[in-house]
Amino acid sequence: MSDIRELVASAAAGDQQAWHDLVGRFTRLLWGITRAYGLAPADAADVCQTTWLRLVERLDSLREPDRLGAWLATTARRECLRVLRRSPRPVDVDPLALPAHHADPAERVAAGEQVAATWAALHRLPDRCRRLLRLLAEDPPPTYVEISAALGMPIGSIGPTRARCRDRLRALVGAPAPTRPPDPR
Amino acid sequence: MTPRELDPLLIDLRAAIRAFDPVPARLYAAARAAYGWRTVDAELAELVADSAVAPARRLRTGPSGPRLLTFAAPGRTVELEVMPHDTARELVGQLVPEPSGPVRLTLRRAAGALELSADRHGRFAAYGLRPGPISLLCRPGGRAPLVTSWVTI
Repeated sequence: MSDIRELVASAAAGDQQAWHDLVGRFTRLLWGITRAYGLAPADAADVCQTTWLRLVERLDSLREPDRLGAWLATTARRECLRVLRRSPRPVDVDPLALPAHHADPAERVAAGEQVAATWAALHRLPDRCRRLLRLLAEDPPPTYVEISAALGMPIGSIGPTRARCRDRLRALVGAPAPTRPPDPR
Repeated sequence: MTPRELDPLLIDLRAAIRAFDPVPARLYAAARAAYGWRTVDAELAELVADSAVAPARRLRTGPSGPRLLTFAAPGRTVELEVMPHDTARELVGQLVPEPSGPVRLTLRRAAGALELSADRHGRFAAYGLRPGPISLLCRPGGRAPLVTSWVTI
């Protein structure tokens, strides 16, 4: 996308508004990636910020500014893995009980039971499926190039994995929640 | 290219993200503010080693031990040792090679820039740091400034 290339060039030349535009364009993707990896909100925020700071330090030297989305996704993925290696993800986090300081209570009420059940079921999926569907559900969804970079998945496997994971999620939704997590497969 | 289908499951997930996991508003402001950390003339020292992700298990010291970070630019290296201290972090560092003259050291972080002093061997320290992204700016007399790639401690 040549408009991304122009924004990067402008930001590198000192145009602060161009930077703001890039932030507006890609922050949602970065948040989605960190949450797909199951980072707690504070760690997720740190990874997003570190990713942006990494971009700031090399605005002049990006080899392929057109592929900024993939570069940001790869950087975020590496930082997420760094965080996860230092401290494993707690396993008993209830996705419906996440801290709500940033969430609009009205949205929760409007979402209803079916949406809540789907969200809870997402978090019972194995990591690979949970991460992929979490990213695909973003609005607008990331490109397959960005998803590939974010998850370290070959682009060609995204479609088939998406279909399999979607079927697994559908099977879980509406099934009663187990009393303990299912065995990973 | 991403196919956009009207998949009811994804539509529900989309609504769920809005309800349960939206982007915190403060992230946008923080990201915009990141632009203020641009350094135009400094050489970038890339992170080349991080004991937290070292492949050999026996080198990893675990979450309660020190984390060793190495940043490298041509001819210059910055070694950092980060130690957890309750909820804060302590940082001890070394410039390699030892600087031949006085060096201005600035630790950049969200809470603001912190001036540090290095001894004549190029060693420095900082205490009571909050976890989060940091970057060190070294300004030796007579050489190009150096910044370390941002890392989260």
